[in-house]
Amino acid sequence: MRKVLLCALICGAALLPLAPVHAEEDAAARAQRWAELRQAIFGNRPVQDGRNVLSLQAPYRAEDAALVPVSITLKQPMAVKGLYLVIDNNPSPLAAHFSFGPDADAHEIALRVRVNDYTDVHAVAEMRNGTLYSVADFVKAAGGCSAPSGQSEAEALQGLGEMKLRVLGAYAPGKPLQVKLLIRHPDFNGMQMNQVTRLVTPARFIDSTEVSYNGTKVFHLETGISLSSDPAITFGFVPKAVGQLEVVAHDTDQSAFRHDFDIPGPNS
Amino acid sequence: MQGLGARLLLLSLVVAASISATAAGAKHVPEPSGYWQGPIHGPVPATIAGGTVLDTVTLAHLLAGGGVVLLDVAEAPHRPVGLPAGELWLPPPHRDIPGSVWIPDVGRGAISPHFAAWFRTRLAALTDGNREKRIVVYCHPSCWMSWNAAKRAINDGYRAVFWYPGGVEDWETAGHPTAAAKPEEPDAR
Repeated sequence: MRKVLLCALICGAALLPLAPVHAEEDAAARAQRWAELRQAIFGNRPVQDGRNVLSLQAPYRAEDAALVPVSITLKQPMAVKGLYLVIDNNPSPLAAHFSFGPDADAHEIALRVRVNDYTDVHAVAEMRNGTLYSVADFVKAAGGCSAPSGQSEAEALQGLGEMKLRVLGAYAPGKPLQVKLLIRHPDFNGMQMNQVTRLVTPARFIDSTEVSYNGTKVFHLETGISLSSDPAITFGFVPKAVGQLEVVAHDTDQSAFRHDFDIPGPNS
Repeated sequence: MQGLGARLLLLSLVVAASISATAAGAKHVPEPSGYWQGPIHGPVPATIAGGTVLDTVTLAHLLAGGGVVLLDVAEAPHRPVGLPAGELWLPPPHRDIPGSVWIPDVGRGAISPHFAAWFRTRLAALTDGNREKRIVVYCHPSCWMSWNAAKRAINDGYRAVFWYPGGVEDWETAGHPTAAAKPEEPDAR
């Protein structure tokens, strides 16, 4: 029996990943990458540990690297001026930057992003006093940036800029209301090969979205090529009365898309 | 107590082995007759005719023995056409297995005759013209780039071509070190 145990111990040890040996090295490389990105995005502004300010939810292992759901919870939404989402190991890492207006309720924001490689994802909250707080999560996925859209360019551009709004709660005047905005757009990132022509489709994507309610700003959103195609943005706002949610999106091809949604909608 | 410990260990080993077997046998992908012309990222075959498929443990043994040409063919990032000037473009440094030669894009389905000729010359230099020299080709998991590049070496007459489909991610996950790499490419494609 002693022999069996010895063998099991040796075999077990051989199968155990050696990860701890290189874990520190790995952590150092990730920290170095974040330091580089922090400098590129925020310059010399200090960024503090944000675990008491916000939290980030992302799948540890993503099913589809081109559609990785990420959600951010802000504990003091009214004190937050802006929110950045950074996919560290993507070549164009800044996925989204929200600037919230007076009618926003930023307690929960959700987006879908492309992930090119195993990566840290950072969410950074900018408070109204200018302080920056960050949290990070690790996502295992690869190839999301060059994944083809699975359809021809013409098909991908059909219905360009069409929008839908799903109201996720019950409307009550003066109470926060959570909604999900869907915008039809292939968001070509310039790295996807067209399977028919064998050529890389040039980048064309939604780079800004302005949302307001009855003329008051909810948020302005700047997005990059790390955002998934057909943007799906979940956010909250505070409708003080019945009215209209106005959405204007622009893409890098100088196209503008506008849609007004009645609140409460026909289904709420 | 010792017996119980041993049995538990054995049980966990058997469970671990059966889990990895299930994951590996998920989907059968046949080898294409020529070079794969479809999407670079996607399910790959379990085999490569004329070459040998390596797992991480075998690769580590092979490298420990020395005398191996290690070829990383992962793609290199290029700033996309159409990306506005103000958009942040800052690809992370590419890391691969220490001792690798990194030749991006040589595993694309179709490459120019110029690039193909350059690759043949480069391979001949790396192997000192020895067709028996061991060549290991890899990129990322579920990436055809390494399959195609290994096939090019096989078609060029190399008789000890190894394909490591786990790529740099599997290597790293197993706890092995990686190093920052610089790409090698011809002056023109």
